[in-house]
Amino acid sequence: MVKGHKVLPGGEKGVSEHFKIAIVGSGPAGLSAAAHAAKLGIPHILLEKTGHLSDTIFKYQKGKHVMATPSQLVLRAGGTGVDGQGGLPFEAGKRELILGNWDAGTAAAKVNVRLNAEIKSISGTGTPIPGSIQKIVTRKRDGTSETKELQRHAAPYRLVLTDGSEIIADAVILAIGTQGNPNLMACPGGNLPHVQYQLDDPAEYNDEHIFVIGGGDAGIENALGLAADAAQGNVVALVNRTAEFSTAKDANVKALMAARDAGRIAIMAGTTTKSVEPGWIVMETPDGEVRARCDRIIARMGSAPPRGFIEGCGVEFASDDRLAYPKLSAVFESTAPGIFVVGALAGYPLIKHCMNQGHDVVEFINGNTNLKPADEPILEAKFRNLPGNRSVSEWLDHLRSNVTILEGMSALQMREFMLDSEARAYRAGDVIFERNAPGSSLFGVAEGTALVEIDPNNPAITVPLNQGTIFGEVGLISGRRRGATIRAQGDCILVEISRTAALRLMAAVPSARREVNRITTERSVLQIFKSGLTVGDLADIVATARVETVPAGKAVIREGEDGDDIFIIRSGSMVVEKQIGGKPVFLNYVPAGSYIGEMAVVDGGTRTATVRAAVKADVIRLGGEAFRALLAEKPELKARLRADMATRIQMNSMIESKKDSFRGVVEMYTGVANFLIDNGVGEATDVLLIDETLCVGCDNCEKACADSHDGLSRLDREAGRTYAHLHVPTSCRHCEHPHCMSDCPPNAIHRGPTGEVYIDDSCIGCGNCQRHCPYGVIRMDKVPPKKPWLINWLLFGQGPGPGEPDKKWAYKHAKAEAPKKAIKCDMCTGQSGGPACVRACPTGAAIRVSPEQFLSVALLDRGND
Amino acid sequence: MAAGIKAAGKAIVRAPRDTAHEGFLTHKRSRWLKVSGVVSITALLAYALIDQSPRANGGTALGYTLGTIGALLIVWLSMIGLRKRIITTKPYSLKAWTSAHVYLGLSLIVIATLHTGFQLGLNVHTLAYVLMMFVILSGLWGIIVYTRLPAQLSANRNEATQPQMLEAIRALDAQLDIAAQPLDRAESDLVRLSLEQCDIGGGLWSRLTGNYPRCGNARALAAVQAIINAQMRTGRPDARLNQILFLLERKEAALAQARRHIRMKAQLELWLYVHVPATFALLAALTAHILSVFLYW
Amino acid sequence: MSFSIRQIAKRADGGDIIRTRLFDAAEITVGRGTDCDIQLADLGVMLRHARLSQLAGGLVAIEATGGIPLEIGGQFVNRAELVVTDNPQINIASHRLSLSAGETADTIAITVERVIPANDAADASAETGIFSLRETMPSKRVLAWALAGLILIIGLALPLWWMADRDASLPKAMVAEAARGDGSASRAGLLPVTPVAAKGAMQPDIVWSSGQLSDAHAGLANNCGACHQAAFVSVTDSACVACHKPETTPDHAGKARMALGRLPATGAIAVIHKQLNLSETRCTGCHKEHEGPRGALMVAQSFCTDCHAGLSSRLTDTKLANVPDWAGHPQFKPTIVRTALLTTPLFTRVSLAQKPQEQSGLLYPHDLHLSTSNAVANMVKAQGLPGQDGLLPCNYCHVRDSDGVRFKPIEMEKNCAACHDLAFASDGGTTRTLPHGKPQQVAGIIRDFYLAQALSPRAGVKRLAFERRQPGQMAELETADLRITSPAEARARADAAITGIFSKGGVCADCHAIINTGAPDIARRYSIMPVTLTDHYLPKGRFPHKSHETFDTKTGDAACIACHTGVPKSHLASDVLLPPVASCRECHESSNVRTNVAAECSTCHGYHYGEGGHGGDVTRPRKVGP
Repeated sequence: MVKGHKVLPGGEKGVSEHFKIAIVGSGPAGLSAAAHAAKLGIPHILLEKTGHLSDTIFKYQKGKHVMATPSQLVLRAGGTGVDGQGGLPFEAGKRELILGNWDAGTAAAKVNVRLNAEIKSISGTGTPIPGSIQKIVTRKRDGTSETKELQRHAAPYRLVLTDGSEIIADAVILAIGTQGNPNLMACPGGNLPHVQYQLDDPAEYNDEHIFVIGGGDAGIENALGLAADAAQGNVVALVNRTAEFSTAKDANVKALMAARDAGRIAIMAGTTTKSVEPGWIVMETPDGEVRARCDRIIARMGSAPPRGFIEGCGVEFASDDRLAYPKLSAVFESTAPGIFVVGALAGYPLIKHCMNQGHDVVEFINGNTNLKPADEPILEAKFRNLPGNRSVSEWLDHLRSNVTILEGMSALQMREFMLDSEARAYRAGDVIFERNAPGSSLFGVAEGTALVEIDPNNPAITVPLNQGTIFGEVGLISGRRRGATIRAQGDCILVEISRTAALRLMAAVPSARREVNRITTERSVLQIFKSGLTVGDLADIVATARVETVPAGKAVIREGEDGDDIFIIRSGSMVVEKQIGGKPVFLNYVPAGSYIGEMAVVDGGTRTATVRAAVKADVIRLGGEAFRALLAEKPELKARLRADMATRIQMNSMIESKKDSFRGVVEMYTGVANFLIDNGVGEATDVLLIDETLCVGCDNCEKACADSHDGLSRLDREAGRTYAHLHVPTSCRHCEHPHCMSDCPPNAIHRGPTGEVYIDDSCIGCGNCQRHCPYGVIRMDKVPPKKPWLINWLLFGQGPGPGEPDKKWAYKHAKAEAPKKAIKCDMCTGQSGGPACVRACPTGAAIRVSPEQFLSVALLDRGND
Repeated sequence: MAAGIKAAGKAIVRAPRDTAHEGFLTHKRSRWLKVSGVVSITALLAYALIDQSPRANGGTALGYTLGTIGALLIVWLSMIGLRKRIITTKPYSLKAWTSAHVYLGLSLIVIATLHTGFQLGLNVHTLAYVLMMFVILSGLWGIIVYTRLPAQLSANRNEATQPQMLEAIRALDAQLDIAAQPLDRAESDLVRLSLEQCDIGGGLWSRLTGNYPRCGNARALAAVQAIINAQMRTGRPDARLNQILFLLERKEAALAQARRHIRMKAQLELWLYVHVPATFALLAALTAHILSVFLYW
Repeated sequence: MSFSIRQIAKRADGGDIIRTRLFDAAEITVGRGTDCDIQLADLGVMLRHARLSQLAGGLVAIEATGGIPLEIGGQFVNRAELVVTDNPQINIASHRLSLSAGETADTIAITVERVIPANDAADASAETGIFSLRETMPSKRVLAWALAGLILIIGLALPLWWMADRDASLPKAMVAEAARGDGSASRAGLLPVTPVAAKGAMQPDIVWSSGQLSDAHAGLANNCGACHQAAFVSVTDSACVACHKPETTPDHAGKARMALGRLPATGAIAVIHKQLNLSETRCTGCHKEHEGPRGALMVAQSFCTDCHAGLSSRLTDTKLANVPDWAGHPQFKPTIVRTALLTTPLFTRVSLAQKPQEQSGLLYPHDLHLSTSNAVANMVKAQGLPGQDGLLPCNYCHVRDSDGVRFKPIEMEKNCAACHDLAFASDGGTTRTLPHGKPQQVAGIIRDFYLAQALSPRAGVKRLAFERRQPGQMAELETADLRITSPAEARARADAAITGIFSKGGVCADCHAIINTGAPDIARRYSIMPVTLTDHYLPKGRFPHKSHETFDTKTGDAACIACHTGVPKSHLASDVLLPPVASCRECHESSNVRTNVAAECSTCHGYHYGEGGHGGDVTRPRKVGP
């Protein structure tokens, strides 16, 4: 029995309405699903937690330009008309426009919406499904975990809302995104009306006593926003559980301290809320309980990912990795039959994807099984020029079955995976990639065999890589350049898996991750001995291998300690130090891919130096005994190791010899080196340094940067740290593992052919990269209008002159409203002259160096002045 | 993106770039110093050895040669203004240009002086020569400034950017404004002195010498200090005034830093205000010189 | 009785924050103090600034309580009563209070807002300009334009404009001066030219002048057009010839010979000159102007030696020796008399090196006349001629001519007669003298004398003897027996007397060689050997004796003898007593610093004047006798 789909505000308690489809979440996915359902006349209900539709986009700052990428993807959900006939309209434009269209669209389509309806739980009301028991593992802070078992029940599902009302639905579409729910205040009175969990417009509140709770970036930014304008007369206090603001970004903390010194914000560190009363707040401070006047509490204590809730519904995730997504069938159906997951939660962050899925999933539920996903044409394009004409799905299965690490993936995952990857056919002898080519993608051999040239000097010496295996993992994991050239032996078909796709894969498919790790270990051990060993010889060494993650600054080897383990640095980098005269003296910088600790094994005795992580690093620890055994039976290996050690020993002795004669020099060297590493040079591949004994502050570097990149400077010369007149300006370091790449919805950030990290123009201006960059080198800005000809400025002072035009001028001469996009250094790729900032420095103060070179800079002509 | 991956296969050699850590004076082991040295010595030898009858001046064969070289040099040297601003994608190093600019510019002293044959007078020709020497001298001044100041500049800046310096002062102003609210007229007027009569930059002279005799903040500081001293003698000083004094002192410090920065920036820039206009004057005079010489041949 | 107050604050992003309060009182206070009803956070405001009190009839009394008058409608008052209905406004420092009627009858609405924004409103980034000089200095661009413009106007535009219509007429005086073409000495650089002051005011194109004009041309200083006739055309000979006419400034030699003799230019320069068709022979090739006072005449030595060093190789028939330079200057070849003739004496050039002997036909022992002990000396004393104890000074005979370069011709009457007189008879007081240079007449006179005595002898007539005596005291000879009885006797005595005069020991033979023709007629028998005196030994050069009068601290005769060293010992008139070129070198370009003087070709030689332009003069021989 089906009830009419008219909107029932609230819904009376007890009585539960029945719908065919309940859609949870009114984001792009949810909306388009609902709109499509409405269009098909399917009884449905759209449940939105907040008081308005599509909260995420609603929360964008006013006037933000929302993009519609990927452009090649058709929006099958959407016509453009707002009559709802063609489904929901969507095209790139201002936030307001889009929201307006959607509201109009949903209204026109007579979607049955219920706002302020938050789901507490979803559970099947049908018969228990035999054998379908879900294990839910919940981890605690202390590391212990408990496992709860849950018997799945068949549809229809009961959705219980926080206001107690219930809804029955045959199918549930979860489109709740990844945002999750803010952590609530546990203390008594936490539910009082003047406690809120977000701040939309700081300008709303005047003359209030406001307490912001939580020392994360969100909290600090809110507090600053509220206190920014003295005219508002707000009395703002920031409450933080701990004494430090460890989780917040440096810039934010600085700003906060400045605000405190200016007397605009009171900071209550090491304080917790005890209770909340109307107009008052009671806190537990280090020096006792405090009761203070309080008109408003803004609690920003982070948010719990929706995973817990979703698992509670019987939906299983691919792995317990943070990045993992729910296991889904090709039709978005989760492990709980009748519960479908779409949108960001399903791993599709882009609006177009979401809307298409919303449309598709409704089609599926409606029984239309032979509907091809919207991204079909894209995939077709990818496979078009491969031999052996297969259909897209055939290709997907083919690859999945042939490449070992792909096996664990669902059809849907495979599709999504292929969107970020490439399948290529190579003819015999084709070079797949060359030694020292930058590249962080992973290759899987689907057909044929590839050859690795182990010896750079003699391409004849090769090792075959057979069908099913992978290669390129070193680049993927260490973020460094390719270690060897790889050719196709016969004709072969390879899958090139982009870095992002690979990381997602490893997160989603544990088996894949294990496989990759095993191969990396094996091969990096082989690397140590160059050629002359087989995997067989290494079996028992590899057996002892353990992958460990070392936080920045932690030592893996300590001078004077016993221990004979050998470490291979998988990612990140390390610094070698030695205690000289009671002071640690910087000896060496060890990049990823190299190994340390072999001296003790070869020569015995205690560790001769301390090795600590320059940045967060992954190391493979190899047991010393197994190693010694191997060396015992292969003396020539020992010799080679000795040879390799020679250079380091030399370095040590050099420093040793210098330590008395040039104590100052050695200390300066150490100081500079450490300073550079503290400033992220350790994880950099290329960094801009400025020698401030030469820099006259003409800012020609910035001007050159702006003029060679459509009028926007990607570097801030002045800002940044300085040590001994060596200045590290705010400019991209092109990290080995770019933080900015970690979460880019349109996947617009790549590592270019010369190693630079660049953002392509599919950027949607979401600002994630800006937030993630620890060095603050990414800015969001719009391209300024074109400047008049330089000569006109030179002669007649027309226009703003060289460099980035000032905001006023740009605003005055702006033609059309341009979207703000993420902007960062691209190392002037495609400019044969190399980085413009360096070329344009009149005094030679600006130099760009790679970590291998920066030590020489540290030493250079500082040693002898 | 696909394109991105495709390209990634190749080990593209990075565009050659100058990673050498050398200043513009020692660029490529002072290549240009050597070049200009050779040029100057050649010119001197030619002048000494070649017989120029009846007397040496711009009219002799050597004179014309030197003159041509000199004129071309001047034009080329003045090109650095363009080179600096036209950011082409081709390889070039402004450092190299500066280096050459400096040393060839200095060699011009020899070349042009020999061109005159020490024949000077009150005419457009000598004007050109004098202007040229003037430009070169101002350039020398520039070199001196460029070699001495940067280290001090960065030391004084101490990681603070210019906006930050201003922010610091403005923040203190805001605090002063608030702190002064409860004060009575006479005292609050002192604070206003600091708020309204305090010019951070000031005129050229102030910028160069770094002394600001009319600085409102200094005056306010002195006055408030005086009041507090007076109060000390009689009893306990007013806490609010103490706060003001504290703020004024901090502002004074902030001002001092900003002004030191300004002073050095001024010195780093001022010579260009001589060098560049003089250069254009020189180009004009040079045109007049060359034209007139052949007009009245 | 109440006030409703709307206090408006501006938000940083522009929006307003409006705070309204209601005061249920007839009186409210305004000020900075926290205890005021209307608190204005503005240091310009007094702690307690004013009091407003509501009066009956829609009036409000406002009163300054802080001692500062309030600004109401432009006036400053301490107390005022305002009608609420005409919405008065009160300015207090940077704030404004606007009164108006409230909702209810007895409420008054007061809107308080800041009208002058606080100074920290602007954002820092906008102000970073204060760190650069841009704000305190005129822009480089302006400076550059201004300077360049100024220079272009004064240095180029003005002169050009002037050049367009200038008056290039030559100053008459200078043209005339040049036309006279005299002052060859001055042109040889021996005498300074007094610069002619430039006429007219200074002209704009003076700034193009590359240096001071030579004194000779100083008058053209304001007349560039005189020489620089066409733009971009090097000064042409026509410009020079306009004043310096060929007749006064002859060519150095005939065009043909010049062309032959010149050293042809070679190398790049020649090519360039050819390209710009600058002839090698143009005036400005040698004469550079704008090189200072002597510029135009400062012709380099090399310009002469270029050709003369190897002249003979190109000009094969030349008589001139090659002159590489001063050091290589050949020995002087004075022009001396080979055969003295009355009509056409013969000259010849003989190098001093060959000890030339001159045949002037005169007998004159210099040594005899330069003695202080012999008869000549006594005679000099007796006659009271100039000179120290009888030493006859050089300049008694050699008298400088007007321009001090050479000497007046020597004349018997002026320079010899004082001692060598020709008296032969006295006739009652009057002394009869024989004429000089007329031998026939002399014979005639003597014969007639004796014949007259034979025909009608008179007393008191005496023959005088020719011995050297004080004139007038000569021994009377034949006084007693001067009574001649027969004409035959008279003739015999006359013949004897004539023979005596002309033969050795006779008065003529003192200085002259006598020719005895052996003619029967005694009157025709004797004649005098002709005399030719060289007037100019070195006609191709000039030696300014005047400027050598004092030489090496010597003066007078000493100075002469310092160079003409042979003179005191010479007892033959045939000696050529010129100093050799070597003695010039003692001073000119000598190593002896004390006396060193320049020796340019032009010191002695000329180029554009004199015979064949070589700077000498035609020799004028002195002929003696009828």
